[in-house]
Amino acid sequence: MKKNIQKNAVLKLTLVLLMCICYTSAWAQSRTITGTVIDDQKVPLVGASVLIAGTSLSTTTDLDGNYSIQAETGQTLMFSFVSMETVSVVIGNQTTINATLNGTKILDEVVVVGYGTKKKSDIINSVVSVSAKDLTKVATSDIGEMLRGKAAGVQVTLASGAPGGSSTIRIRGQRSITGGNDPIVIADGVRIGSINDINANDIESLEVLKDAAAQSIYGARASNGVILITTKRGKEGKTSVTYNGFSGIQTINRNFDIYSGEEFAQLKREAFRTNNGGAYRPDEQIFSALELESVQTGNYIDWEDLIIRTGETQNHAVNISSGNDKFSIFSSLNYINTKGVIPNSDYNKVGLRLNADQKINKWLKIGLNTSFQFYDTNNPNNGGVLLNAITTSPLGKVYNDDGSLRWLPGGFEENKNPLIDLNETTNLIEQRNDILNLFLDITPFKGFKYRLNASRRSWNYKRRSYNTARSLAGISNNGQGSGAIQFQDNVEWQLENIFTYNFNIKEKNHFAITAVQSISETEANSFTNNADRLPNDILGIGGLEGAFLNTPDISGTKRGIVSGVGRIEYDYNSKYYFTISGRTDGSTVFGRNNKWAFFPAANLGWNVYKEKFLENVNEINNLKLRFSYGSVGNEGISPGQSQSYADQRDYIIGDIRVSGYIPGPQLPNPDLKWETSTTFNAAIDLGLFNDRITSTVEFYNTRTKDLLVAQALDQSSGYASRLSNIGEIENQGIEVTVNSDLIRTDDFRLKLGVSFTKNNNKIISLYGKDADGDGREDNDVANRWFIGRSIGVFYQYQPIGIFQQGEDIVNSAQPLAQPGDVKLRDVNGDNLINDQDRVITSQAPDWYGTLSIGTEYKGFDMSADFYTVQGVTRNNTFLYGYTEGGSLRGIKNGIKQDYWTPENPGGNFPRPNEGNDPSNIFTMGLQDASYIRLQNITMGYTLPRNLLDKFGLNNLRIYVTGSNLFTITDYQSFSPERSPNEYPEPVTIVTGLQLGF
Amino acid sequence: MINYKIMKHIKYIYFSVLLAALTFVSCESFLEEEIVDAISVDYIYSSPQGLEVGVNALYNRMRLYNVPSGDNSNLQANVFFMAATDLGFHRTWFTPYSPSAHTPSRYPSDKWNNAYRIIDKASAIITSARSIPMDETAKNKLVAQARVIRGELYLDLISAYGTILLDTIPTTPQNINDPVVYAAATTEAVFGVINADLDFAVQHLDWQVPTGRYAQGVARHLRGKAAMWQSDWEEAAGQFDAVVNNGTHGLVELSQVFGADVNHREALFVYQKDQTLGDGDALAGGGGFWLGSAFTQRLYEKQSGTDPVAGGEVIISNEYGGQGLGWFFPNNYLKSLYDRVNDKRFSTYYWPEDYREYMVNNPAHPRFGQPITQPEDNYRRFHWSLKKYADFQTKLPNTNDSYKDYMYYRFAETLLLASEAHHNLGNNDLALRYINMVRRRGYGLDPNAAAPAVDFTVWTQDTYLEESARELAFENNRWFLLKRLGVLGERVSLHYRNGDNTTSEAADAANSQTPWQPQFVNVPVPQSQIDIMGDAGSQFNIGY
Repeated sequence: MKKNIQKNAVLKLTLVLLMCICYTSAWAQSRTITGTVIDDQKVPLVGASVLIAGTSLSTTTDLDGNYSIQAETGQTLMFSFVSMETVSVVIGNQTTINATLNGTKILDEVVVVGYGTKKKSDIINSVVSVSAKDLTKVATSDIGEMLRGKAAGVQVTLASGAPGGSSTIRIRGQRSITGGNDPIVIADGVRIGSINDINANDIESLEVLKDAAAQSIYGARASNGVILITTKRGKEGKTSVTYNGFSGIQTINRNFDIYSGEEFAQLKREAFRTNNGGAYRPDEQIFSALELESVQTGNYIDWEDLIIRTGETQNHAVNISSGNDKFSIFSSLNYINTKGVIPNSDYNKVGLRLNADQKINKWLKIGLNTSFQFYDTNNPNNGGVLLNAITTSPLGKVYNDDGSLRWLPGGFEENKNPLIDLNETTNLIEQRNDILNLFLDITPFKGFKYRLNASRRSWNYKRRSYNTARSLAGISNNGQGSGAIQFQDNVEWQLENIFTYNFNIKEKNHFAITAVQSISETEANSFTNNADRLPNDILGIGGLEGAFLNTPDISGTKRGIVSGVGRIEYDYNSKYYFTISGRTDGSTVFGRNNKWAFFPAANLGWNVYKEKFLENVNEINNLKLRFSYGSVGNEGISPGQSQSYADQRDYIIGDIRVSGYIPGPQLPNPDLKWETSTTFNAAIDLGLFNDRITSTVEFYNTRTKDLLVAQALDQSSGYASRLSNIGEIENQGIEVTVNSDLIRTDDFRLKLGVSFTKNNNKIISLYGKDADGDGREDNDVANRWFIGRSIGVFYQYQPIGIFQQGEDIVNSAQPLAQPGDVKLRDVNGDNLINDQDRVITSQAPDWYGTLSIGTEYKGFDMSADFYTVQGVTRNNTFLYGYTEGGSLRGIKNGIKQDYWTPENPGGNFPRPNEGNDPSNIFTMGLQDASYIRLQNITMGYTLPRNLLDKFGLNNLRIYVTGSNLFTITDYQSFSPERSPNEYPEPVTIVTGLQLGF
Repeated sequence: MINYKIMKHIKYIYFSVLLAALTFVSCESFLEEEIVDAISVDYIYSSPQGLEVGVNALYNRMRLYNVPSGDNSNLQANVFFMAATDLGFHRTWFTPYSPSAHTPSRYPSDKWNNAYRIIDKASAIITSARSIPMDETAKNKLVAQARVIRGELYLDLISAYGTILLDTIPTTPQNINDPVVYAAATTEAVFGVINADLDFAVQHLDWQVPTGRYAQGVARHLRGKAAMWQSDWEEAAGQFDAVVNNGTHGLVELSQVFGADVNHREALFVYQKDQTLGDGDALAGGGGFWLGSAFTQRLYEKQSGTDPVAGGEVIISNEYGGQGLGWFFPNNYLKSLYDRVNDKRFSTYYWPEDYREYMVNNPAHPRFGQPITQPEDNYRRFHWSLKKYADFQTKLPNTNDSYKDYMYYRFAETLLLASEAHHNLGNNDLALRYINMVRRRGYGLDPNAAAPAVDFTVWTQDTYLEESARELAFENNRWFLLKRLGVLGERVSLHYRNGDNTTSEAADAANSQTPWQPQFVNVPVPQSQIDIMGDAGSQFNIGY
């Protein structure tokens, strides 16, 4: 046994050395305090936090509830544990301090809010905390995906499921049209570009700020919500090392069929038949020789089988933390590797973090947060591959007789061999992302703190794509290669001066004053060179000097923002709360006279449960009412839109290139100003039966004024659109979260959580004009904006069936239609189909919600999360588009539909037509994209203490996780949130290991 | 108590404030925005150099308007006027006059939108030039180019859409929100602008200019055309006669008309392209134009005669036009107009009609070099095709992209229009002389020497329309000519055909009878324009 320990010690030492060569820490001499932490049932608490007040030094209890920490006499030890009351003990002469933590008080948990932290019971804003544990249980490299369903009011949809892909996050609906809807992500007080600029395993806590009062402190870019991430920091005491890793496989699910070889051949016959006056033509006239061979022998091509593979994913993270009373450090290394379901698509990411804190003296402290991430992504032609897997005709031959890939498998250029480009194209993207953040804290006397926070963030992007001479593009170019190279560099710096002062008057009156001044600037520069017709492939894109044609493109933008913020918080005896704040922001992107704006906010909170009349109601341990009202601004538009500038449009005169400049189709707007969102938020927090049931219900109403929109202009003006501030829209909604510890015994725990979010989005006002005099404000039909409807709507004809033989078509609203054509709804009944018959259909979901279940039995744990979105409509181009194989012409394969023929009058899709797309088939795309998904299911086992001791370990858990195992939806695609040609979120099954020592 | 604390720690507070003060940055200059990758609009409208680059850019935009790259609705908008006439046969791609597509919301909006965009910029240049101090002659030459473009575009708009909007005041950020009354412009008002612009251009443009630039010849040609729409035969004849008599322009050898270099004396105006100067509509060289492919059969897809080992008889190669699309073909009516033996245009402007004139070009095929076997019954693979836009120089065989210069107006049309104008003035001798010049050249004869065997001796509208068809088929004039003469609906109904892949022409059950509607004489104004005009939209798209 001893040998075992030594062996492990060597292993551990090696790991430590490997992971943190740069580690330096001076071990100070201070007293060791040990003890045990137990709960009111006398059960040892595992992982309870032991913190020396006023420092960042802390440790956690082991599996027996024991801890050991270096501390000095006179310091205060704070013992805390999730859902327990915090206990403080001042250190005297003793070397052993035991603590008993009572009850299940969620209220004492500490939550990070704007520029500070607060106990949950003191929070009167709309803030949701998501635990790091809940995040990392989803096996993905995308933190957005991890966040999905974890917080009411936060809607996450897939932006790209490709390896290294990301998500779109919307907090409380879409409130801006062009002003941007992405929340800002603040990591350790520094705005970062994307939520994925952080490693998931580095996250200590993640908070989402939803109401205006919470956001007001982050103002300018916070109008769409704020995601606050705090990364882990070094803690005083024993060095701790944890490892978390998983690896597994990925596939994709689809809920549609494509035409089989036989079915496709029949579709083609039907399409030709329609064009031939209803008579079938002989196969020889329809099919090429290659196709005919397939039809006759029954050897069809299964492109999906040839193209899609099983992907692989692995993720390894090692965290090391240590520290003493003067210095602490946290470092981490993260490696992610994913090989996608499309051959050649892969993603590699290495993330490094180093957070350090140095106390210089009693009143001065400096800290450093650094993060470096290196990614490389390979995604040659991803979209095209999935498209081709669906749409390439199954007739013909994949290979030439010599075994090489056949360019045109069926002999027609509409169906080129999709396997060629899998082998012959590359698209390599290398990115580097670094964050450097230095802060200096001055705390001259109790309650006062000044922080200077300086940061620089940079993002470096390199793309090299190349199509060889043998690629499809190369074949078109007479056997010459082509490609592009792009270098982009974005740099953002930020400087903040933060003053906070907390004081009490007569014990019960607590005040906190915050003042912040901040300035930041972002600069982006991009250079792209497209190279066409390279004579050979020897150097790939590296040989672009030899290209017949090189086309450079250069672009750059610069934007900046300056802000000043003030906030006064007051509470009386932690019972009545009042906060008022104001901020003023100036942004470069607005018109000369409209750069500055002021945004105020106020909150009220009432801890009702602390009132006398509830004191004796034991069932209720928390009841809080909160109200907030405030404004924030949105400046999320691209730079330069308030200024008139001209695009370069050169020409050739007398065979010589001449320079030309002309304004583009977008008219500038020198009066551009801030878009302002004002939110009223009312909420009730409830804790019942000692927090066995906790619930939060929030109601909100956000009015967004001076919307920044690309307003379509009258084309005869010579311009297509202009960015304008117009009108007002409303987002109103309700969010309900209920969590319960249904069963809690020594051995068995069952937890159930439900969240529900309903958001209503509608346009209140546009231009305030009533030109038609009907007493209602006019809609803007050209832009598809209708008063009282949501921002995103479809406005098009509505198909109501298929014309049948024998039907009185001549006297219908479509007198020229043929049997088998799409029948449209004549909305106004004037027996004409024209622009008056277009129908409005909303795109936004009615509601979305989650159900999560968690159980623990002895060392086993299991959790499952279901996620649903209801009432969404999407336009599926694969139901009608030619390129997407939806137009029933027998040229491209596509998603299988029940099409009409004289023999199949019940078909709900129009009659195939070889010559052209069937009339009005473009109206057939709207499809219900609601879905229910088993987002995540995890089963794990944690090794018991006695076994862990044998190996000298702190923690060892093995687990199996399945993500996106099934989705129930009517939307015909790989994912209800993506078109069938877009990379869907994969079905992932992984096994993982968590290790701590 | 608090005060005492603060006093005690005053040095720290001083230190903090000092540090904060050092890191404060001046705001006002910081918030000034600088654009790093584009030039200010003021430059174009306030200096002689700016005026010149502004005019150059108008040419670039005009090329996008008439010679767009790629396969898109902008190409459809152009092909429609070339092919959806009494001479055309549609196989696939988009269906002209289809009841579900020839509507305000589906018909391509590109011509309308692009025309108004260019008009507005031309107006801005014309207006701002007045206050730019520079040499008057040089200035007038630049302004004349902007004005010929504006006049040309308004002529396009009114002849295609019938009812249009007229606006010669440049749009600015300051006037965009001024109240607008959307009123359909009167024909007189529109032609007032067209006439004035073109008259100015005629007065100030030179006859001889570098290739690619507007010259006096094209300005007069356009001014004459505009006069024809106003039935001002005198004016029209005068303008055309000036072009004929000046001598800058004349008929060239038949083989040269659409030959390798179209910058010849017959060309009145040629859009310039050169891939090496930048590939794309926005770049100097222009993008790949698909027109030639759109009109060419795909002989290389032919299945008959396929050898089990060597494959098909025909492989993609430049000699047969490279990659083709075969979306539109000349129809049987047009074919019937030609004397296929003696009229050299039949073999010059078109690919061979007889399959035996194509040779097996697959070197691996046993019948290499011999005439191909009879193609199967499939129009996509084999149909009598237009060759005018075939590009044997810049088009790579496996692409549809052509970078050949594109001749947009030519002298043969001037002669034919002049013939019509003089006929209407009762001057039939001159009318016959002009039409016969074109005809004789078509027969490979000297245009200026009488040729009794082919010469017309009587001028009728039918002979005129037929000769115009033989010479100018699938160029951008036919649809407008028929419309101006009031015979568009009648002729399209009689001869235009929708078909498909098969040789049983017009067997398409849905489209065999072109469902001509009276409102089709005007193409529909885009729905986006109608939607924005509200109730005023009812003045437009009458009948749609």
